[in-house]
Amino acid sequence: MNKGKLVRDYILFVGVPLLFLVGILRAGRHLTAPVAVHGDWSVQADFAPWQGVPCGALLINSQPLRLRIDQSGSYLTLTLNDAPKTALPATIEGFSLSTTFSTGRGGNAPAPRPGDGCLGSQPLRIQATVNQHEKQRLLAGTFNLDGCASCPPIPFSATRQMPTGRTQQ
Amino acid sequence: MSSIVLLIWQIVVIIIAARALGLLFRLFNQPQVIGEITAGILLGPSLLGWTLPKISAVIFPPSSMGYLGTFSQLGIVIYMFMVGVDFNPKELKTTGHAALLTSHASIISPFVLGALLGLMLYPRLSDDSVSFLAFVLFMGAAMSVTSVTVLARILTDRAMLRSRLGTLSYSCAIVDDITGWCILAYIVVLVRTEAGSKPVWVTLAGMVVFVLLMIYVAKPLVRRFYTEYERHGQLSEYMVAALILFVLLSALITDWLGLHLVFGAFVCGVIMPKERNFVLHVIEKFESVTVVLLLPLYFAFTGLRMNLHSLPGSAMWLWCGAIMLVAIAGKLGGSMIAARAAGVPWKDAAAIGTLMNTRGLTELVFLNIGLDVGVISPVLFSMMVLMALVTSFMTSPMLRWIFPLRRLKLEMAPGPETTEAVFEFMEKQGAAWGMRDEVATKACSAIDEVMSAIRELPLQSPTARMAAEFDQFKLEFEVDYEGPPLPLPETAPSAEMIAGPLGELALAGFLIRQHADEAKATSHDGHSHVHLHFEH
Repeated sequence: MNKGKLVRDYILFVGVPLLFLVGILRAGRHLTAPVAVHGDWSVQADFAPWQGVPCGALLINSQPLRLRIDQSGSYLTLTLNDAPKTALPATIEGFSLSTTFSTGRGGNAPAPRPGDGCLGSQPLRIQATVNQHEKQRLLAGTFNLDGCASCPPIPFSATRQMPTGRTQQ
Repeated sequence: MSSIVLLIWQIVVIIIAARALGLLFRLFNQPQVIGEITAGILLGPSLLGWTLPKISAVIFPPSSMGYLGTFSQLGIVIYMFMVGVDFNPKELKTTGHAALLTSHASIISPFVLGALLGLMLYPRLSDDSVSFLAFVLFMGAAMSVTSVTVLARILTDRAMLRSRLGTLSYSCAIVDDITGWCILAYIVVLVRTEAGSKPVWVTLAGMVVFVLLMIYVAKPLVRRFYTEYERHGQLSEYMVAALILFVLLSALITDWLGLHLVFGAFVCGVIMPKERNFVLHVIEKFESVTVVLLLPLYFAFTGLRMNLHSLPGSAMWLWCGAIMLVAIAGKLGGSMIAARAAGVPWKDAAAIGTLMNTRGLTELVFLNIGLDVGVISPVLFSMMVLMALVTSFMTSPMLRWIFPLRRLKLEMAPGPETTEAVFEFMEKQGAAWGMRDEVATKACSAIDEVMSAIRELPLQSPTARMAAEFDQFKLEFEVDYEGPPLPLPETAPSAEMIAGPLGELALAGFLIRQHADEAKATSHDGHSHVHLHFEH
């Protein structure tokens, strides 16, 4: 292989792609990704009004409540106190976070049965807004129990503990 | 169950699964390590947690992941030290222009395609805690990784390591690996600086000082390990303890600097003396515990972090497919086209592309670090691990497809007719397969000697079974017969010996050894076996 051909091929196979890479980096400068909410959150809420229902009992016994959020883009899995029975799929759109029930459960949690924690016949629903306070991110919203007419929405607030990385359980 | 009992049960399950899958994969001509990686992934939520959630919850409860993670991290630190020890920069000097172009193109091509994919994945699977630059660089680097260890295993298994193609792909893989680690180090610094965990100048200045100290202070000192080895033929327990301390301290320093533990261990390995016997001795000292115990834990730990069922919706499976397509097109396609442009024939260029596409264990280390520092999300991690597995798994079948293994089986009485039949076969079929003339000649001569020698033996059955396997890199010849074993002396028999009763047999055995690159004769219960290996 002569040097001229090597230089030509090197420019073609290495130089041109490098220029293309610079183009990609420039094109992506203005891209925005969903708001980061992954990590552990300390939740402040009073679940006393839900004392008579299985999910309420679970949450009252779990005080202080820790909300763990696993995030992949706008897709979230919310877990309360690392209990698989409370693994809830959720999404984040802009600054609004809400649980979804399209897949019914998150991760490798077993299929929900009636009265099974917060995923059974009275599934838990969370709606919240992400607020930025200086460098700290805060969540404010409500816990709702679907299918329970006597269960009022429970307001909550949560503060995020600074994440050092990510893990999935 | 106490933590230690649970951990021991976990280790038992992981080792059994790793060994079983490793063995199973060997049967399908896959490197054992691919089976072990698969075992780790199957023990996670993707299979065990999905099919047997209660058993999974008992064996691998989330609360126990800390212990498993710690042990597996220790394993990967020692493994990276071994990779560094085995890395010899001098191996890069012999490869020339083709390697320069192919290696650089095999990095940049998947890197650019990975970055392009990152442009689309960033708004979908990342979040604003990760900068676009870090995300895209990580995607590019993760796509351009080649696993040197898995590649070396495949090359050795197929007798390709010493071929031009083997040397070229191995050199390219080393360049890719080193470049990949440098880029990853930069990404870790970038992410940790963005997170404000350490001022960037501390990390950068610290890195420079660390590398300089390792090269100019530690490197001359670690020569003492070699001196000790040369004097006693092995390293004493005190020296091994000193070596372990050296590796762990280096790992701790790079971690403190804001990099990752593995970088310190790797640099520590790179500066070790490169005399081959010493390298093999050091690797042997660490290999058993690392390969049998700690690496399977790392694979299981990776598998437990990976959950294919967490992919939200069918669209994500399409993205997963896109990741695989980009990884294969970038690495395999890019390397192949660059190698062809460098003058390598199409078939060999395709083989180089296939080999470079082996991501294996290196990719898993990359991805775990990416997940640890938060540059990739859990779903993207799962997709990328699947990509690593698929691209590693496809290497061996693809190589067999590019260089198919030809087989011949004959059963006939040893005699001149048999020899002629084999000659004819070599002449006609060997030529059709592209066998080199000198290999055919050497093989024919050796087989002729085998036939002559077997005729001299008191056979219990009049027929011998012969099987030949041939591909672009090797010719394997097996002969089975019922009778005493064939002597294969390494030194030429003396004139008196030749004149003796078994003289001709000994001479034939010696000539067989001369013709073949490797010759082995074994016997068990009256059944004897001769194996001849010819490099192509």
